[in-house]
Amino acid sequence: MEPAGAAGSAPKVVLEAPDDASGLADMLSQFLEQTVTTSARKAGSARALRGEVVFRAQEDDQIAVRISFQGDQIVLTDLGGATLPGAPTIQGGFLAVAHVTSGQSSPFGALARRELTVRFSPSQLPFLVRVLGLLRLEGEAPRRLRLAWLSLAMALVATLAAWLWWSR
Amino acid sequence: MSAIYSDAWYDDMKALINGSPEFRKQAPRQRVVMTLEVLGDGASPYVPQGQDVHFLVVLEEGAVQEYRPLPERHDGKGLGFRFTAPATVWESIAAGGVDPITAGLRGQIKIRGDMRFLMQNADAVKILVDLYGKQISTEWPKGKPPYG
Repeated sequence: MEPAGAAGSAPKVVLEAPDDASGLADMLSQFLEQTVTTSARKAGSARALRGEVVFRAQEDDQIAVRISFQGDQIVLTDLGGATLPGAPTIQGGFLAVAHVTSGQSSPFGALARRELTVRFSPSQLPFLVRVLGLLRLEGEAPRRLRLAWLSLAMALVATLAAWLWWSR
Repeated sequence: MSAIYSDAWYDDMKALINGSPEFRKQAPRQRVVMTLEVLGDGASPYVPQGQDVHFLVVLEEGAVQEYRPLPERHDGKGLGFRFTAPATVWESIAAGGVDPITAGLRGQIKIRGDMRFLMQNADAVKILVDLYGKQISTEWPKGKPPYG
């Protein structure tokens, strides 16, 4: 793994109210910090992201975390049972999320098996794909999964183009 | 049958985990050192308030090599993971009354370590914590959780 630094410093990962944080928020915070501080590529990807995404635990729907990508920092906030209208939401069980982030299963397979549920608007698709790409561990995706990601990216571009064309 | 936190209980736990073909299949081959910290919370009759129980679990070659109590808190050198929770939480998990994954997601168990490694080995973690929660042979000489 290449060290962070060449592509600029890693964004700061901030966990709000850490003493009262849920385990999901705490683990996501550590995961993001470890990801962006050990890879210059991931750090660059994270710095380029702007927007919010919500992760909700399938095991307990009173556990949800908002991740706000702000360029120079990533802020994690516990939402509890609250929803965040307008923000894309990913809901899944611990194992499903772990399998997808570690490259052991495809996000599409997890969606098809309903292990993951994703809610988003068409305009949020590119952001969501980039977030999922950031969370995916480097060097873990086998070739067929990388091809699947490429196919998804192409499909998303086509969907977005069609949506933009229809909404003219 | 062994009483919780007794020497025999640690041996039984090691044997229980190493007897799981599923765990042997999923467990990482490399050496992983972790510590579990059981904090006295005033409710557990086994760990008095203000006192802690610490134990060490060492995995290597797909098996538990060490599962033993520590005389004091691990100093962190060479440590991969630290799992910390009140005694009532650990004991409720051991008695099968609380799901360990949900307890972790709620923050009842504090986890410190390489989360990327944890994600890569999530199946082994799940089997390990499930085994911890299915210790039907554990004895509870001072009563079993939930504590009144």
